[in-house]
Amino acid sequence: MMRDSRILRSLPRYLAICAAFFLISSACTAQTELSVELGFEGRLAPGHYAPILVEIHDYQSAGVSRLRITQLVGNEWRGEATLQQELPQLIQASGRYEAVIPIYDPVNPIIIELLSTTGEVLATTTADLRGTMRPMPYPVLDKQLPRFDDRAAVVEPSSLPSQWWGFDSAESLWIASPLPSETWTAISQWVLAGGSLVVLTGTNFYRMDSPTLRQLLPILNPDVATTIEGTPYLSGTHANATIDMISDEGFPLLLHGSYGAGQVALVSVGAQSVSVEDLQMIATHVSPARLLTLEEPTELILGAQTVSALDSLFVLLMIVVLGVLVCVCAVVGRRNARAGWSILLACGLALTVSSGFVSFPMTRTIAVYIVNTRLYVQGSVTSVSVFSSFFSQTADPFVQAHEEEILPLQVLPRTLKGPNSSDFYTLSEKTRQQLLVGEMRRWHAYSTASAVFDFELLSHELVRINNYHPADFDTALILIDGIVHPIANVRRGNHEYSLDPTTSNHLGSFLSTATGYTQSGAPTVQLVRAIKDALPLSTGTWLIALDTEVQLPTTDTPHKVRDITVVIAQEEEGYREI
Amino acid sequence: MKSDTVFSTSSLQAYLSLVFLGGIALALSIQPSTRIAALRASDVSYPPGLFHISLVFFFGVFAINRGAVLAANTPARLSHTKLILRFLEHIAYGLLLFSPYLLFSRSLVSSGTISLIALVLYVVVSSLFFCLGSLRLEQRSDHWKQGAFLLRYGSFFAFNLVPFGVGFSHPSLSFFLSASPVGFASRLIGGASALEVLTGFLVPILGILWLLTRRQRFDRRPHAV
Repeated sequence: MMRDSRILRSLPRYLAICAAFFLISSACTAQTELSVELGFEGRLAPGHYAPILVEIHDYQSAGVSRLRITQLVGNEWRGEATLQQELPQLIQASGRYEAVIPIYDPVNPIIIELLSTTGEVLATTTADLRGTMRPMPYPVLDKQLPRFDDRAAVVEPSSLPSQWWGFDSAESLWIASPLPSETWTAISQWVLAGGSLVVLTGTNFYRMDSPTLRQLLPILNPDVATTIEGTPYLSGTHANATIDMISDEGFPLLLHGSYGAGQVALVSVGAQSVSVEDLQMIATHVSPARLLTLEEPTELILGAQTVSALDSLFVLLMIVVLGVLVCVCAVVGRRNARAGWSILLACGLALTVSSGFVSFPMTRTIAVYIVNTRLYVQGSVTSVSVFSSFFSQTADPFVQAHEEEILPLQVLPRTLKGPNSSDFYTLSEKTRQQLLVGEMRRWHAYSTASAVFDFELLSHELVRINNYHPADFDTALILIDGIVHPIANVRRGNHEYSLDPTTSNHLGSFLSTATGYTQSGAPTVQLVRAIKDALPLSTGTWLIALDTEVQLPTTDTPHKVRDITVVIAQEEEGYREI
Repeated sequence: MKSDTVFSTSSLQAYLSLVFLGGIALALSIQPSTRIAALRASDVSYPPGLFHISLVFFFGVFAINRGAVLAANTPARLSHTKLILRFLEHIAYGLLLFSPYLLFSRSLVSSGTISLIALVLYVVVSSLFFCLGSLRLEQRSDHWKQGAFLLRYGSFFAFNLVPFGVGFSHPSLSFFLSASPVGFASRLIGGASALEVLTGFLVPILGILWLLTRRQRFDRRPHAV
């Protein structure tokens, strides 16, 4: 009896030991695994951003890990480059991690690795999407819609990215279902930057309704009406909308309006009421997305920069002085060798010290010239696009700093063969790369921000601007129905500025004549020229502000960085009338 | 006035040539202050290492010239130490004249001041080697002056070019480029490996030692006769 009771008492202990052994052995045998979903339905367009969803199973590492994406670009004929980018997320547990990454050449496999703090690869997986890649952006359809276009990707609306540049590879986005507010915000930012949205409403409108959607729609006071035949459709005031199609029953079936640099098309009936043929017809009226870009003016501004160089005249002066010195030393030295040497030493040293001052490397040697243009387009939301052009005067590797969360999409040379390397590595806040001497490259990236300005036209001669930006703006333009009113300096905080009618000018005349208007006038004009075709600047009240800052950061490779901030905002009240 | 001192007429011509040619090489190495767009559109390249390659080359030619002049004006029994000191006097004079150029050129090279110091040391060693080589060739061909001139400068050019042929023949022999003074200067400015630096210095140092020992035997010959 005693023995049995002892066994019974020690049973939990044995069970605990067994459980511990089981747990330890299972922990030892389980391995971290990754599964990846890339793009919409696996469709990737080269040279565009795409959403990525990485699912981590059985996360084992005790520390913080990171995800690294490795993309191979090119082939044997074109040459090859390896591009690596680390995602900003810090991984501490199993779960789903979303991001948006630039896609370069999806004909090659994309490698996704989980790295430990020491850089050890904990898990790896490869995405091979050669079969589903698309050479150009494609329509992205809500799963409520039939696949009326073979190129289209059909997606679950809840899986749409919450970062607006995740829609970069979408030619147009078709929505027919309610969406979470963060997805509507991302869509608004994308349309503001130049995206193309198609919203199918009908009776579904009330389920989809949100303040962000109302901002986007090309009609005011939307309400569901019913025709005599009993067909429900969305009606409203559409003073500034363009009606593209009228239904058989006489109500506007398709209308569109612009929102920022993008277009919003409204299909006034629900997805279930439209046939495949109708959708194909509607698609012919939908403009493709064209994101606002300042790549070209940024490159022009970089090209207009003067490289700091050593003074050739000083070299000529040295030749002359040294020639005279040799002659003087020869004349003196023949009589007295010691005197000849003394003159050479004294004059030689003096000239050497002078040449040292003239050619001081910190001020004379700029290895990399960079121009970063940061464009804020401000509506009810704000989208930020960053365009960077850089020129190298060194063949040494260098590091370019940028914002923490952005993953730049670099434009690679056509041929990747030759002495230059197109490889680069993007870590948090910086990209490490190597260019040839005299080589110029560019990249762009996207981001978000809160509103920069809050402004109100108090009268035709007075404007109130509340500047939330951390710095003043050198130049600003107030555009009232296409008339430009320049303001010299927009200070931080809330201030009133008077508009001088004598300096006002029509936008067209301003752009053709104002090249030398201010010190930073030329870049302003170049940038406004680039954006005027994408935004309806000739109607409504707009504020365009520009700030330029030149820095010489202290790095191993001397850089000269010119940061240009451009903000375009439209007066809040008029925004819906764009 | 002896023609082998640093203040002689022949030296004056040599130093003036050195100053003038070195200055032109430096001016050609400098990129003009121009717009980036114009710089990209232009096919003209401004090799920043041109001055440093020219420095080694011009000092080589200068050393050949000085070696020949000193051979004609030096007593046959001059000790090695005195001979080397006399050569070093010429090289130091030339380097002193070049010091404003050298300091000016440091912003042209990304590899930094250490490379520049190594280059100056190399100039001293290689110039000494060429001085001794030129002196020996001059002394051996007293009766054939025209041939000696061709032999001196021909050997110098061969010394500069042959390592390129070897270095480019196979990738594993690329370090042999540093055996050429011009090759060594270009590798050093671009960031040379330890093997390349070693090869670059070893060739003229071994050459100096060989020439000094050969010269001893050469000098002993009249005693034997």
